[in-house]
Amino acid sequence: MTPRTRRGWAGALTAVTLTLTACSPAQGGGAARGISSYSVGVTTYFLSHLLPGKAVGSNVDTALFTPLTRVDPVSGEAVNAVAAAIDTTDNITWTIGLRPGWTFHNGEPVTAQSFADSWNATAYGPNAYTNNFMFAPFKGYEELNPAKGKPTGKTLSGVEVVDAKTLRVTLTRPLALLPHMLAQSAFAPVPKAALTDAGAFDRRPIGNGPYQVDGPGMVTGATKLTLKRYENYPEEKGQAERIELKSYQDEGAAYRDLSAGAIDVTLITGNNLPAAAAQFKGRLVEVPFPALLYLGFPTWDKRFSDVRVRQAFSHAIDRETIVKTLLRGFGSPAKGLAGVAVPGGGEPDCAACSYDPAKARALLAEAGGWSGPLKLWTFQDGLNNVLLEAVGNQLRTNLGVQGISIQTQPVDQLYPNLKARKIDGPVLLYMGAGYPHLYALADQLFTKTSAANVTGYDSKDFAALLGKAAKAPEEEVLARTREATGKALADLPLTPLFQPTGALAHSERVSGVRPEFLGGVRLAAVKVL
Amino acid sequence: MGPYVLRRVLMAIPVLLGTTFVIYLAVYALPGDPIQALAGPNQVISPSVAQALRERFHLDQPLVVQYGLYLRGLLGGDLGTSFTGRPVTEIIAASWPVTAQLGGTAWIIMAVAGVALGVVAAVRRGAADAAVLFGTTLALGVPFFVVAYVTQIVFGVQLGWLPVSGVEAGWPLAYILPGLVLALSGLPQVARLTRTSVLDGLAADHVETAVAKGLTGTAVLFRHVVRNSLIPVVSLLGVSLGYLLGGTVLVEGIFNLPGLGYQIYTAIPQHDGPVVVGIGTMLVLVFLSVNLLVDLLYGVLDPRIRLG
Amino acid sequence: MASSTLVSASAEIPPTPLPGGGAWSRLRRRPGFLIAAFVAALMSAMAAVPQAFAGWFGAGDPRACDLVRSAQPPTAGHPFGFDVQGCDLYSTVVYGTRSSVVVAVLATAGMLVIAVVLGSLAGYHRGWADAVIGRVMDVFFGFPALVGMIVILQTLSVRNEVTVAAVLVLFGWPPLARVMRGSVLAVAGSEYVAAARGVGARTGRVLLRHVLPNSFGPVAVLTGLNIGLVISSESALTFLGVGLRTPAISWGVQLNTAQQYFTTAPHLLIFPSLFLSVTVLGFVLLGDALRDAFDPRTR
Repeated sequence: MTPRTRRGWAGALTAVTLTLTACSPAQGGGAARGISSYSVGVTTYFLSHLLPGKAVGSNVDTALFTPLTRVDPVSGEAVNAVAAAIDTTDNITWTIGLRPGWTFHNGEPVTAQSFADSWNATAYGPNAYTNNFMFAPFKGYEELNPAKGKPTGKTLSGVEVVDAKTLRVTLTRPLALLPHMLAQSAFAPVPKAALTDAGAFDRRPIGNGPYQVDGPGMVTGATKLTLKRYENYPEEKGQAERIELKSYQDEGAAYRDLSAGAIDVTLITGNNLPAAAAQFKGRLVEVPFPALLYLGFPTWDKRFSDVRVRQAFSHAIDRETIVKTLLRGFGSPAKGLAGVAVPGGGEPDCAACSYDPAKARALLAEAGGWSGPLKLWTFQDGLNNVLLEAVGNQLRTNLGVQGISIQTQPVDQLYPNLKARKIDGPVLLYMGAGYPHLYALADQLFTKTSAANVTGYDSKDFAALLGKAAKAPEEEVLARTREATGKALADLPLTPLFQPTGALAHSERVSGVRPEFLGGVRLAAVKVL
Repeated sequence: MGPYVLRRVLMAIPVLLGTTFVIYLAVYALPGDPIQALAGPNQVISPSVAQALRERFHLDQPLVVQYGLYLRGLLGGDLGTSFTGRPVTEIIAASWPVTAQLGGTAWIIMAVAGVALGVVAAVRRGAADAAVLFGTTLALGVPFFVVAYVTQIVFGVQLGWLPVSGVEAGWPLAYILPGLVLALSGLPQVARLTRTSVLDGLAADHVETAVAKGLTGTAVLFRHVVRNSLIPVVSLLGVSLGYLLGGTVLVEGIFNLPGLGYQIYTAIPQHDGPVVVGIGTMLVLVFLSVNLLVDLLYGVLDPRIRLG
Repeated sequence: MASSTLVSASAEIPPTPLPGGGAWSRLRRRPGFLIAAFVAALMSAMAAVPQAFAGWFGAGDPRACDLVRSAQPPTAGHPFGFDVQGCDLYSTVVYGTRSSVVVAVLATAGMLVIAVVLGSLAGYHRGWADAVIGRVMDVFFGFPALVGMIVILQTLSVRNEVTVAAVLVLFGWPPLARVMRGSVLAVAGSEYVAAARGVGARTGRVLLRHVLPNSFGPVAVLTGLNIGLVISSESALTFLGVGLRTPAISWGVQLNTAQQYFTTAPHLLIFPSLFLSVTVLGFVLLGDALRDAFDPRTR
């Protein structure tokens, strides 16, 4: 195997060209006021933590921090950002070179040590940073997070600072998609200040992204965060000079504020979509989410141990009609595991996803029919309930299952109960890809040890196929991953239902509204007219 | 009156302590895993982080130890630290002005509009009475989250008179819509009770005597009827404050107001004991103080009731 | 079953011994009472035998749903249109009467019993009884009721009419008790009570014969409103994710689903709200009529 090198220039150039075409020269009201500024509605959750170790990966994090790589939304490839090159021969040991010219908002240069500091702090168990789990593939993670007792060290042995501009990363097992993984905000660098007072940094971070925090940050009781453009950003700078991020507890309130002209952009989902689509005709950018709504089967329950029962359930659900009616067309009926929004997704690889009531009845009859009541589970969410009720109605109509009831629990009860195998029926769940690749979704949903594998699926064949994908050279990763997902979908521990869609609606004051990977507006790209 | 007030204040201490324990117990008894709740929609948390968080917030200790630690902090004026890492005192300090303004606005709207409607309905009878009856009933028949959305759309979006949400516009502008929605949930009760009391008052012997003595309608109405009729209404207004403060949980969410109600509402699913206990106890304290005032007002309104 | 609950509850509203024919004939002459009685009877009947009402316009099964008709407005044979699941809205609203009325009646009856007993004790005996009851009331009332209900219902994890009603009672009795206490306090200080005590009447007799009938008016009126509040609270609990839920059919569940669609399909909200308002109106009138009939001062 010859050494492969990732050179991101081509990708970066594409991104620049896109930005330029999206922002044709225009002078508007913003310029007249002397400073171009706009406001965005974001959910409170996006502003809850801004330290990379606790960051939720929102568009706010992306504006404040730039990690080693970013994922090109068009090609789905990981392109280099702070990294100049990422090299490996075996997908285990990686050498990462950094580009010069990157600085934090306080002027401190971004070095290999900045990354090592950030990663070590997050990987160190007693710090209790929520993104800690993402570092599990790194060598030395076990020592920092022992099952019992105190950690034996404070740094990951798999992260070595070779020199100021070079990092060497060692993993415990091959992972072809490390560059995709490194694009997450959890892997962003931090300056020295984050190490002395992480609490203060969490509220008023000093990042290396296109925007810096202006003012006191997210002090207790604050309802907005003001950002100003970082003029020394070495890549394409932010378009607007200032951005006001207003925090909303209820997405509906943000939508109504947008209608009233109090904010310029916000993400709209769920039941507000049809009304917003009618109201913001030319100013609505649809955002297919890199996520999946699925019905998981409790494979430990003997009523669901026969694959024909699971296929029957899957064939009895009319996904097209549900999308057309309940979702008002905002979403796609699942034809495969992942939609087009997930790089590598969009394949119609789910044979059991077609609507075929006759076949469903026949399969159920072959498997011995159904007797007794059926409980359908989900977590508390208005739309989830409505969707699950429709699924229940179709199971009753098409399979003759009587006594269907819907059970909801908060997430913090439902997940532990699923892990403890106390859930006695199919469960409607939402799962987003951890990082932008089909591999991530497959790994999360089907790998036996994954925290998000709630169906109890445990297949040696699947594990072997996915392992091959992780070891594969770059150009083969996707094909291998598809073989693995094909196996999982044939076993059908869960059936894909829908790929949900949201929309970014905006005022007439702004242009260049584009989504980030997770759906929020790309803050740096919005231009004030 | 002095000793009476002192006794009431002293009695409030066991009440508040009891409240903290009951709330602590309730939060402790909540099913589900606080650590899983803390992980949020992420849904994944590593065992080592879960363990570290349990130790940090004493979740690995039995209830008695947890509560003891809480009380020890309380003696030193420390209300504990939220799971989000912020001191509870800081959270309360930042959010109470919002809730105070919202609750106060709603309370005033409810008292003024409720009593006025009730008096009009009782005195005018006929069409006015029927209109008040139908209006207040309708207000009860429409759930108040619906009223909230409709007022936001009509007054905020379409007419543009008032801000749709948030506190940036300050008092009173930012608090009119949420205050109105909150007041509406208690207004029918106040109006109906006022109407009934005034009707009772009008039929009472001393009023008939006053009319017989030749006093004019307005003088009789205000000196003899309304003043006496307000006793049960004042009582209801006092307890309604508790109801209004509870309603802030919903209204603050819908109108995006960063107040106590919203803080406590988000803290429950997080099992964030210190926040729920701190804010819950503070709300009970506010309620106790207001109702002490109400009881003192009783004595002013009705000389027959002596406090002692 | 549900109808008997309703009848027994409306009989419970005056805890006084029913007066003779005089009150009854006065009641019958009041138009308010007749309307109220009609509404209460209609709602009881709907709660008891929804199938007798649901089929009036042709489609009688609330579970016969066709998603294709999701949220469609009223058409022939479907006077209320369709809900989001494509079920006939008229029949689901009719079937929703039962849960809503059962919760409302159970909760209100529970609150009344507690309120009358504790309110009279506190207001009549004053002293330590008043102090203890007052403090307990303070804790229940001062703590935000919705927060308390969320915590308890999440802990219970069983959500049916009985548990929802029980939780509503637990946090709903203080306002009624407080008003009861206030008006007992006022009546107990009046001359005729003093006179009754003066001639040596026993406490129980004074309470039942003189204090309760004269102080029940304000509570009776609030009771009518309370039924409406309880139904609204039931829907607020559903809104917060801890109330009744499918497959239970209740107005609360319907209103909660409807609020998510109310800009695009307002009829989903209007019809359950209409039923709710009419029911509330009926009980409000009933409360007024009973107060007028049993209050000795208005005889």
